Amino acid sequence: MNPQALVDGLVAGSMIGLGAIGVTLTYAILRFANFAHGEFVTSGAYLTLVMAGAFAAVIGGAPLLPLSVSWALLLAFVAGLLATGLVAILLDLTLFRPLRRRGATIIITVIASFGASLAIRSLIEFIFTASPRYFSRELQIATPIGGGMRATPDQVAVLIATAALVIAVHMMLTRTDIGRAMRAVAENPALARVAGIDVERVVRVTWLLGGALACAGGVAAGLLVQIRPTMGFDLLLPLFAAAILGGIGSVPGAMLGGLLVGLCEAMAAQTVGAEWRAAVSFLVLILVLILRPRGILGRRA
Amino acid sequence: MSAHLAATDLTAGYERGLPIVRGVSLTVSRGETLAILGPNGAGKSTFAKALAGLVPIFSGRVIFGGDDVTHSPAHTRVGEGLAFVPQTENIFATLTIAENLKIASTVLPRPARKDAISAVFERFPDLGSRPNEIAGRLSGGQRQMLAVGRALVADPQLIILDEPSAGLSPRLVGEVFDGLAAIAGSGVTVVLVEQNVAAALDFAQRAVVLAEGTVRRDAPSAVLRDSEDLGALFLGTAPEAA
Repeated sequence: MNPQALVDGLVAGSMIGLGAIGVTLTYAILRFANFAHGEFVTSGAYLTLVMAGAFAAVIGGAPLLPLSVSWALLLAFVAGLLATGLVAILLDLTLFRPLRRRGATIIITVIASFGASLAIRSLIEFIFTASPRYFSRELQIATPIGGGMRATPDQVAVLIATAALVIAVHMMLTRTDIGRAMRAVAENPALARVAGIDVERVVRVTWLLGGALACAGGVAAGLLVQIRPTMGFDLLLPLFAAAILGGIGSVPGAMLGGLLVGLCEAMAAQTVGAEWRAAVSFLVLILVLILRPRGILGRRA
Repeated sequence: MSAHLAATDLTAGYERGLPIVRGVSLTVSRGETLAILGPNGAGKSTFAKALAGLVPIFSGRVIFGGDDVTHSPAHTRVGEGLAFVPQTENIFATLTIAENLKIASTVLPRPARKDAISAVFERFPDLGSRPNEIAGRLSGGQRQMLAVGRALVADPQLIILDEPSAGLSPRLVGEVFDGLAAIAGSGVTVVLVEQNVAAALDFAQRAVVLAEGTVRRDAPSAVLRDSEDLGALFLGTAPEAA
């Protein structure tokens, strides 16, 4: 097999992993599978695109060679992280929080998220049309990186940025008050409340973090592939496969799951043909659910 | 002694229309030790959880330290000095001992947190000797220490404990009650929900007997211990106290 599958798989896996962290956190803390999470990926990419255009008009959009990324895009990315986090909080305030207050069952919340997904996707398509958009038209040339593999400077940058984000999230969850509070709520919300934790605040931080990481995944996908209204929805199955493979509730697990799903996809594309790429996540999901439902790093229920 | 915690005609439960606690009124004085006794299903735990803010209150009021906390969220009551130790799942099993205590210390101002945690480690040297142990690996007695320690970190003025001796060996039950006596000795008001009637009456100054969600008896422990119809109270067959 061509060693290039390793690079392709890790790059695709980074985008999946960033999205899967949000899925796993939402599942652990709010206890439902959020089918609208893919739409945060899409929203993040489009919000960043719009802001990058605005910033470029002011400070110029010259790429920081050898990357195709400009200062305007970098600034827009940082703003996009925050904006997408706020979109996630807004969706919670208008949809999920009222359902929680009414004691809605999990299935109602899941179906509501499915509805939100449809609505957001349609809204994005209405505003931006279905034709693909790009952050940059710069041509990226893949250079040899050893072992018979090649990577573009953008791909290398995405891998490094993903690693940095995942380490930052891990440090936040293990070393800070809000991170410990999130883990406490994930384990036992009632005990968390009598331990003095404001659970609604933890919920807001969870959405902010999940939305921001989804935006990072969306911007990576936009940079390396293209920006489309269905980009997040197409990622939904890989996101869930990764979160479940890694062990639901585990942030390192979600990233590991993402990388593994990405690698499996890349290997399938090389061996059995690219048209089977999408089937891989489905296969991974089914195998994990049958063989090891708690995932690689998950806890026994 | 002034009223530290007062419940007035409290009705509470998990589902509206199905109250488990039905019109309970009682007062606890500052520095007092009170035991809440009663048969299984009497509503003792639900009452304790309602006081802590974990169970919806349908009617009536809860006054703590002079403030109406009936509908204030659980986490704000902790900051005001009201601590609650649930009977089961009362520690964060996936977190370390130190993390359990750090989480609870966040209701305190930042400079006071370290000392509060050290004080718990001094009180329970068994915990202090291995702060980085995952709490889920602790024995039953050590878990109970951590659960109580977790509540004490927040420097409470009143602590409600739901059956702290449940499932422990007789030796450990003795240790738990010695620990509670020390806590009460430091001036903290203690409200104890217990099945172990003898131990609870030995510990508490006063006891309230609940049955079917209502107060059946409210008397000093010494009086209740000698009362002839204690058994009948527990079976719920004694008439309601006048």
